[in-house]
Amino acid sequence: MADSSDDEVPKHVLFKDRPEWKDIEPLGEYDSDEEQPVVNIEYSAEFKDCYDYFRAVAQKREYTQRVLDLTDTAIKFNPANYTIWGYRFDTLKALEKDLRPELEYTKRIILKQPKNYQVWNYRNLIVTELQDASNEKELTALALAEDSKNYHAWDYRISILRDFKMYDGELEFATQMIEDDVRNNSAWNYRDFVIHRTNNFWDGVETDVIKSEIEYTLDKITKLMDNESAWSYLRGILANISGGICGSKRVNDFCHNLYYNKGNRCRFLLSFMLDCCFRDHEVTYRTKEGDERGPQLLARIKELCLELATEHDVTRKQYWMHLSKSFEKMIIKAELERQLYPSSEDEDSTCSCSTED
Amino acid sequence: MANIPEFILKRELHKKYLNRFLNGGIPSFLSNMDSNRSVILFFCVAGLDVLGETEKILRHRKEQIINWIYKLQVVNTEELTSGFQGSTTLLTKKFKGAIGPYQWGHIANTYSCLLSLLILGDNLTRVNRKEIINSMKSLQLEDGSFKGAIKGTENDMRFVFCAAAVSYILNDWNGIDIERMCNFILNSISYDGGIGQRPNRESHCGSTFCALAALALSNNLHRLSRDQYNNLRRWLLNRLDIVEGFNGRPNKPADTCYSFWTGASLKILHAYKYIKSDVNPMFVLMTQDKYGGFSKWVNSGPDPMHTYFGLAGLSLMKYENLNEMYPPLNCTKRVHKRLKALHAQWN
Repeated sequence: MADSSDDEVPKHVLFKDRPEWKDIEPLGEYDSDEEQPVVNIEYSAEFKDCYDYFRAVAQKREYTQRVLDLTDTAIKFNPANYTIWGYRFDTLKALEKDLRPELEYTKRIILKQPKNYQVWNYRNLIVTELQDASNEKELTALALAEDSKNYHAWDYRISILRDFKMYDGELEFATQMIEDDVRNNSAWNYRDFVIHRTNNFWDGVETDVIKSEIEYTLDKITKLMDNESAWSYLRGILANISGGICGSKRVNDFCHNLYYNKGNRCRFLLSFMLDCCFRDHEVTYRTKEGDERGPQLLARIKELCLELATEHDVTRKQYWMHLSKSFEKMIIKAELERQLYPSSEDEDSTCSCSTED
Repeated sequence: MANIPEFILKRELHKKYLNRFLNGGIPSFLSNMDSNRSVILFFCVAGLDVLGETEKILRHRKEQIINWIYKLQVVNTEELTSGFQGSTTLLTKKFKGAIGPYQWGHIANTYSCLLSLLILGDNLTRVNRKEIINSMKSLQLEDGSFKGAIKGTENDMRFVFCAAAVSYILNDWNGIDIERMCNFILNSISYDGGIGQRPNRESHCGSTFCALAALALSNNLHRLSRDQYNNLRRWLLNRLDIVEGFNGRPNKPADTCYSFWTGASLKILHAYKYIKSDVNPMFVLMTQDKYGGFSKWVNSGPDPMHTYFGLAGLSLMKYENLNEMYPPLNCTKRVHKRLKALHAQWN
């Protein structure tokens, strides 16, 4: 017990006891001159010693090899200090050091602290300087193996893909991550990013890629119905085709079959069908077809909202009831407008944020 | 005994917990908080404010804390690094805290410090409003996002919120190109309706709050199209699991802090009312530690951040006798009212 400080930081020699630092006058922290300190941390002697020397070198902007060692220790004590990381970078640049060893250095820290903003940001800086991102996929894969939803790792991987155009094999990576956990929303988001970056979707055409993404997603939904991530992805893919959410016959049939033949009432299925009805109405109400479809769609919308509110998503009961009412109002208003101004152009539909309240 | 959860708010214990961080010594194993002491300070005083306890801090003590905060202020008209630092780490006794190299304001710390000052009753008279706003211009990037400090930090939605909140507090929007800021926010809306830390990133309730609050504070909520608005409401409402509480992303477990991030976002979009009667304070109350403070999850160890957001989340639920929140600024209505009175004086 008496040696506990030695146990915590093995073989650590204080900077004040190191001959190579003899010429530096350590500078104490000007914390508080009040008798009672504020959010005071009881620093260890080693922490205080290290930062006393860091304050001293920062004052004179010293960029030397010994400062690199000092920043290494300072980072060990507090890896969240962005100033130290910045100072380390400036020192490396001033000394014209090879930045490559920093890759191994940051990798070690990232794998120990995969949610540290500063080290990911520093790594990005190094990789950008080196213009070499060949190790980054492996590193992010390692971090994701520990925590498959680590926001930092996905965020960084997306930045790397975009900056270095490294899309090859990434759809397969997304597929593998989704295979490992079909509920992994981060992986679905990544898939959306990759698909959109590697394909051109134009003029609302349902391309082969869109068709195959639809099949892929429907397969995942079939295997696990109650999965918000997959249903959202489906919406994202359908947004690329004309007709949007209700623009794919394949998807419409899929939902129809689930609902009517299989009696499925998954809340994501119901809300998907609900939005289809709404979209359907938006598209058709000014056409001849709209004459008949209006009342039909309204009845359907009310039915779906009621099912959600009373049985399949009672947590959001008031929300579904509210939607039902506001759709009703909107449809009645639209019908009126259609009868009053049969030939007028569509008005701007982007302004009615407050109509729901 | 220890395994029987108690579903009442342990007010006294939380007050003690926050005061321990504020006034007592923080153990050395938390030295990795050293560069963000002003944020810890904010969580402490803001938590006490939700509990209605700031009035009880002695005037003399308030002054000590206020003086400490002002020591963090940087005014640098040349390098455009004005703002507040995260802590006194770089201040030296020898130079009596004079600002030297690498001592830059950081927008998240500027935000935390300004709100802490307001909570403690300071009138911001010693804040160099003009220079802070002027320096903010150097933090906005081409894409409209903000970085935290002039060098060495990432840029994302968190700092967009901080910049908007600082502009709102100082009642001066000249530091922000609002058009670009709004575009960054709109570009960060994901296919699922939520908002990520930047474009193409996964939707997240933390970044969604930051984005919506920035729009609300700058009077730009109307930039959301009808569909964007409705999709956001739906996505946010789906973050509630009646048994578990609020989560921050689809298919993730609930976490105490999202009772605020998600709840406040819903408040901003006037949609909290749809789940009000179903929101259950149980999950948040279960994350209370037996010695005070809240944890992320049940039995996972408390920290000041989750303690503050747990209290703020409970306040949104209108849980017994907590000061009411003003969601977009992440402070109590009491503090917001004080701020509005100051604005009237400045004009």
